[in-house]
Amino acid sequence: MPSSSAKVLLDINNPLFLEALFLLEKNDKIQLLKQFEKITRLTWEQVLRDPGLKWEKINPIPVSLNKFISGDDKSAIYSIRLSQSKRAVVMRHGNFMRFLALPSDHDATYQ
Amino acid sequence: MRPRGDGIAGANLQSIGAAILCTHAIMQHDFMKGQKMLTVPTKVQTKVVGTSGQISLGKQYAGQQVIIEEIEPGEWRIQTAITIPRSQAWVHSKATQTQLVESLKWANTTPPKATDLGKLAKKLGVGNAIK
Repeated sequence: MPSSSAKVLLDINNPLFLEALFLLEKNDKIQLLKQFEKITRLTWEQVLRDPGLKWEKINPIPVSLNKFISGDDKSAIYSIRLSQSKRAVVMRHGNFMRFLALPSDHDATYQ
Repeated sequence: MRPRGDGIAGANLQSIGAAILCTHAIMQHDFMKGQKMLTVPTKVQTKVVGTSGQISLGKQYAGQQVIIEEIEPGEWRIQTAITIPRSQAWVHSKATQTQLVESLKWANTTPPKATDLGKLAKKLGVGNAIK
């Protein structure tokens, strides 16, 4: 049972996420790494409440993902803010935050 | 029936804080491509408009949102629709969905493993970025 007072563990091993991360400009990479570092200092409870991270459950889930996730709290995807212009899609697995997608600026820029 | 959701329509609707995903066309009409007439199979039903101007689509659509497009007076196209928050419209883009399908397949078959941020920073060529 994951605890909300546990520190967050980051799983940034997804090949597609890493591919997108490697394609970023140097300054963007630095910003994201600083945000990753910040997240590892937080508990899950703090992540959920942090106004800068804008943790948000994706709802409704895109239809193409229905067969992979059910959307309940045990199987859901979330949006998290990594910089002024970058958001990522993540999922929670125990105390792990697993990074799944890092859309290009065009897709994920705040409007 | 499961909605298809393959595109975002209605830029004007986004401006009021919501995006509408067109999901399933109930009726599709014949259309021309070059000189050839292509016919898409349709299911045609006859309904009587009630005294207060209502028709029923069937119980299976009860409670669902729909977009009603008036093609011309007396002709409509009705599509089921879902509303997504504007802040999440980017997740529904084709590129992000494609990435997510692959990433979720990966996540379902790969156990989580903590990332060493120092090593990651070095691989990214920004080793001094974090303490």
